[in-house]
Amino acid sequence: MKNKYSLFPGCISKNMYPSIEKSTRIVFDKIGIELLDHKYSCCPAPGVFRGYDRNTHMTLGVRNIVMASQDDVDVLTICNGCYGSLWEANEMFKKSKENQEFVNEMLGKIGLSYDGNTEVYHFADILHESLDKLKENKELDLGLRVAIHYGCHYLRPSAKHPDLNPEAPHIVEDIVEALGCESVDFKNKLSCCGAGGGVWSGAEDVSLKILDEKLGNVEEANVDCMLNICPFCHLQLDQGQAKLKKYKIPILHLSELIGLAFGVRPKHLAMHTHMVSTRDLEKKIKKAKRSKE
Amino acid sequence: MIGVFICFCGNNIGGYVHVPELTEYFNKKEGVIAFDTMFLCSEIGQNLIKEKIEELNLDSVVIASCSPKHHGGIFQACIGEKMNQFKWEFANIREQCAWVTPNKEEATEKAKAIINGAIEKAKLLTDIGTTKVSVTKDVLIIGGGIAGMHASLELSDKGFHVNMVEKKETIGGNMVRFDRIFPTDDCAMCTGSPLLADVAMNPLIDIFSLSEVTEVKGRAGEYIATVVKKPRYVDETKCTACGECTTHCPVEVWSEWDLEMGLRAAIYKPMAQAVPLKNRIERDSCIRCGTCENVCKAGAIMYDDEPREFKLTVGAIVVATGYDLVDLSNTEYHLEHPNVITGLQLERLKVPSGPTEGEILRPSDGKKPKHLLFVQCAGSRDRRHNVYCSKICCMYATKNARLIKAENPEMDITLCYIDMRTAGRGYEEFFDTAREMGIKYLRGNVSEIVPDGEDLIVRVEDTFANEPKAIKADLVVLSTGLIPSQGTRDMGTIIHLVSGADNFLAPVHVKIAPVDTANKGIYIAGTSESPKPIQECITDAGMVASRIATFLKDPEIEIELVTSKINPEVCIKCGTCADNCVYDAIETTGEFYKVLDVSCQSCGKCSVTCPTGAIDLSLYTEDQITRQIDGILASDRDSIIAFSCYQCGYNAADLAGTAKAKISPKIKVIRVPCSGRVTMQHMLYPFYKGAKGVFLAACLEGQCHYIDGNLQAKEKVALAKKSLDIMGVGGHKLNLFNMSSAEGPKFVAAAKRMVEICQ
Amino acid sequence: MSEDPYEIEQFKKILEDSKILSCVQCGKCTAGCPAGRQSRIRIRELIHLAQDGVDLKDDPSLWYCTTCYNCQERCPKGVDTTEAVIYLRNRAVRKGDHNFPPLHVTAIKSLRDKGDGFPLSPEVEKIRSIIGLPIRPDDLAHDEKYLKDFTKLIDELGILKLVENKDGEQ
Ligand SMILES: Cc1cc2nc3c(=O)[nH]c(=O)nc-3n(C[C@H](O)[C@H](O)[C@H](O)COP(=O)(O)OP(=O)(O)OC[C@H]3O[C@@H](n4cnc5c(N)ncnc54)[C@H](O)[C@@H]3O)c2cc1C
Ligand code: SF4
Ligand code: SF4
Repeated sequence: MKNKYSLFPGCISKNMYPSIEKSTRIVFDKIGIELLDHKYSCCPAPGVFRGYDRNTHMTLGVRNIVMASQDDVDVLTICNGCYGSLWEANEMFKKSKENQEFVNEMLGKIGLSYDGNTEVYHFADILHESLDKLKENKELDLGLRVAIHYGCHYLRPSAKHPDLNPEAPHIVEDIVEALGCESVDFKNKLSCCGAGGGVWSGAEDVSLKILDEKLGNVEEANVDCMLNICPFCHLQLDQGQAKLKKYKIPILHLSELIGLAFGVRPKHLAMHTHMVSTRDLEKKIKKAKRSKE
Repeated sequence: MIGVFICFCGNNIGGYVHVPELTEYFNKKEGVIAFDTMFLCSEIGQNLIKEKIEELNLDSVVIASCSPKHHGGIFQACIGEKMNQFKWEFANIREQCAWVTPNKEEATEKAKAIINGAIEKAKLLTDIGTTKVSVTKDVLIIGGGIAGMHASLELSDKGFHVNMVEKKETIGGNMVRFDRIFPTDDCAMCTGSPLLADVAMNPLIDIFSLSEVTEVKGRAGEYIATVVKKPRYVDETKCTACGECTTHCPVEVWSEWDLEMGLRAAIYKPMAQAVPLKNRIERDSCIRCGTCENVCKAGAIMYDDEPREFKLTVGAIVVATGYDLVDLSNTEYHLEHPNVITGLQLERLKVPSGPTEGEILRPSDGKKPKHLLFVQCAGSRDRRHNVYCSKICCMYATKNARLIKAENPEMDITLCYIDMRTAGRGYEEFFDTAREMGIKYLRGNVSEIVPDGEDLIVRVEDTFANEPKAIKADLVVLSTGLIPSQGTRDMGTIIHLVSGADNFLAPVHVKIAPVDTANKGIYIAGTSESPKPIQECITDAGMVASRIATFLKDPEIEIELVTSKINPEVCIKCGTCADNCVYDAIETTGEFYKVLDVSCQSCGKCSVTCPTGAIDLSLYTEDQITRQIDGILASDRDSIIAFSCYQCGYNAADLAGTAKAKISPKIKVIRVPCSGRVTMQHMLYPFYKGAKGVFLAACLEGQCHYIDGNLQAKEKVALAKKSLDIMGVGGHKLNLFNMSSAEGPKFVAAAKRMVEICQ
Repeated sequence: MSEDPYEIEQFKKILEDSKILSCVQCGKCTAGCPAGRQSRIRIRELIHLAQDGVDLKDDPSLWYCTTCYNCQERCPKGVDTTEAVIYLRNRAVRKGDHNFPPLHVTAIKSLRDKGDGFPLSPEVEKIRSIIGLPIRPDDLAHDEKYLKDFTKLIDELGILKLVENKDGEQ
């Protein structure tokens, strides 16, 4: 495992949910992995850009990867959208000579080029490799009942993770359990939140209906919060509840949950910026058992 | 004088290659006389060959026609009438030339090169003799399912002594676990139990239960099999199967025989009709409490029983090791849910003597389901599991749906399918009545089964209505696809049978020799060959019995001496060949080293390892192969030579032809018995002569018919690549590709890759 | 023949790369589609129509796919269904589709001008500073030189021209 990555925070965590960026930085700092910053643009949002022009998407995605490759580090994403987007751009580039020529010709116009030697990672995988470090740094046994939402672009297309069974993953479950929480099963657990593919901005009614189905299933499971590994899912699950006006399920990004387990105060994570109040959750955490003195 | 006989094969060759041009061309060649005819395999064609051999006193013959896999035997016999049966070489200008080369000019040029190679090789052919060896009349049957049982009865009726080796505690296989059988709906046990009894009581059949074959050595007509019998912990000679032990045993665990639909004790027999009818202690669940020992009046309990190893000498072997179901746990079907079961588990629920006494009760709460749903093609016709159709599940699901509907008319039964495949006598009629009974057939492939408490939500599209649906069901049955059983898969390593891309055992020819394997005297029957209904297993078994009766009819069989020969003048007695020969076919005791003709399997690996070139394989000698290369390259200098193993790569190349795939005319196949026969010299020599590239088409790793030939070839290729690098030619122009005999597309891809690399 | 890969004939080739010819119309894709449950998108039908060479540029359902890849992941025949939808969208945009959503155009313009699809707002700047993050991230959006290059790159790629030209005229 490497101890240095370039952090690709993605638009949503930077510009809408800084709590996610902040907790990610804290968590990686504690487990001894250094995160560098680079001149990143939007990944670009695959739902919109790939849908309009695959080549534009690939080129802009590779431009981002080049930023990290210039410093000889790999890219660490904390969002399924960014992950899927950059991974796909990287794959398209690596797999075809024609694409390599196209991208390098385009990048050449702004003085850049790419050799295809940089990898794109999802933070959940890196954290899973660091389970021991997570346990070491854990201050609280949160004891929460958690509904895990993987999000589509982490699981699929499964070529991203040759070792992961997209129908029965357990990466996030392992992490959640290591933090002293219970992963609660619910109906259609691996289904979509409704935000991807440009549907969030393009067909809000459809997007919300998909979300409604998902949240209805989670509600039945009676959990303390719903956990995601993607700020875009996070946005949909959190803001979508405000639009649907039916549910009050607190939404946490995995970095936030780990931050809380590491004993960071919710206020320092800006949890109050969430649409759905996390107050009840915070109360419960206050009562959580300390796992070390 | 060499006679070249070229076949038009109607339009099959004539339509793609200018045959008359070939004839004219070769007639101009010194020492060669060429003829063409419409169908060389016909009586007219054969007579032509025979006449000309006699009339012109030919030295040897070249047959330019279809693949030798087709009519090689016919031509060999035909030529054998007039001269030594091995003094001919073939040129495969149909599958490997006409059918893969769309451009007629290019095809003709390629045919010239192929024939020229064959002529050069034919010049060096020598007489090869035959010898007679005695045979053992006993037969070994591995696997006691319906195929194995039926074959054993047929063979014993013909007077053969049969050894039946069965892995489980009883013979019978899968069929005896069913309730009824399609298409007649008669009870499986009513059919099965007389068979079981016949096998059990037949004096000519010895049954070894809980036993497995671990090794097979020897040769056709006299194979020596090592068998290991696992301990039963019950003395088979004493146990009366009274069942007192089972009643008292305190252990209760899931029963494997009932596929976890019911319980068993640690000491048990799987069914009342078990053969042998003996109890057995399953050690992992036994707690060693001593109860059974106390209650057994026969004193049959043997806690200290041990595995036993013994050898059987047999003339022929039948492999009937059957199938298993593909494992669908942790998939979108959620087989982990108690109320999602496989078709085989449903059979156990339906059997009157089974765990629920024939009642359909769902496992989670023992309640009768209101809505039962069948999921077809679960794990079949699906690139993620098995690409093939399992052939029988449409019928077995329909069978059980009908039976259950008849007994429970109020039950809602839905069957979701992609295509209903009910081809077979009486099958469509069977399906017709199912619909008339009110069973709903919904055309759509189930996407997922969503657990909803104890119930299930089945997501499926009604493709006729273009509407996705979520159907609530309280018991879901997966019509799970078939895969070769572990035992079937093991046959690849134990007796080196070749399997297809689907992992089922491959016959020598699917169409014309469906139960023969590449190993003489070894036959396959039943579902170890492919998914099929009982009826076809029985047909197979009958055919196998007949093939064996033919094979073993005389006290001796003739074997062809296409074997390795040692030249004592060059041999330095280093022993390398003997160390390398996996068949122990080299005798080192006498004054000279000698090849034991009956043991030699003709792989030719020895000739590759010999440091002095003293040992050589007849029909594929070092010089013959070299001359064949010369012949090809003299005709078309920048060819790519494809040494193709006759067990796999050669067949794959033929299949590419049958599929009319496109292959560059630069690719020229040279047949070798095994990729391990190809020497470094053969790999490098073509480059000296101007060839653009060389590749080996070898069996999949772990599936070499001669055990490790492809691995040896891999090493040689690595070395030769280095030499090519040093020579400045470039090691990348020499490659080895692994493929099974069924993988035509892999050969095409390999050829394409080589052309890309070498252009 | 036209060189435009999005002309229906050439486009067929592109879709064949997504292996649509392998489809057996089993419906597994539609059955598991989360968007299909809530809208009119029918992925199996789209593949069928595409196989037949039907022009789908005006089909509004193309824009309901959330690209969850459920269908593609499970397709027993290995059809890249989701990729096919993406190609169909690419073509619709070029060939004068009238359905693509206005907010997408906003996002594309925002990316060109600001480097982010969701740009930073003053409110969030404040929150960032409160929790101890740099007020403005050290990213492309906040670096003039990089942003200028980026805008140039997007203009070279010409995506904006595609969406401004809603009627498909060149
Ligand atoms: C749910 C279901 C229902 C079916 N219903 C019908 C039906 O109604 N009608 C019909 O015609 N067909 C039906 N079939 C198909 C039928 O089961 C097969 O055609 C038939 O049972 C195959 O018999 P077999 O002898 O080839 O293999 P098997 O029945 O699998 O027997 C193989 C035997 O070999 C043994 N074995 C395996 N490995 C070794 C080894 N290494 N050494 C020694 N022994 C070994 C096994 O223990 C087993 O006893 C059904 C199949 C299924 C799955
Ligand atoms: S037999 Fe029927 S259910 Fe079985 S794989 Fe073939 S088509 Fe599917
Ligand atoms: S799942 Fe695949 S094969 Fe089935 S209808 Fe959809 S695209 Fe076609």
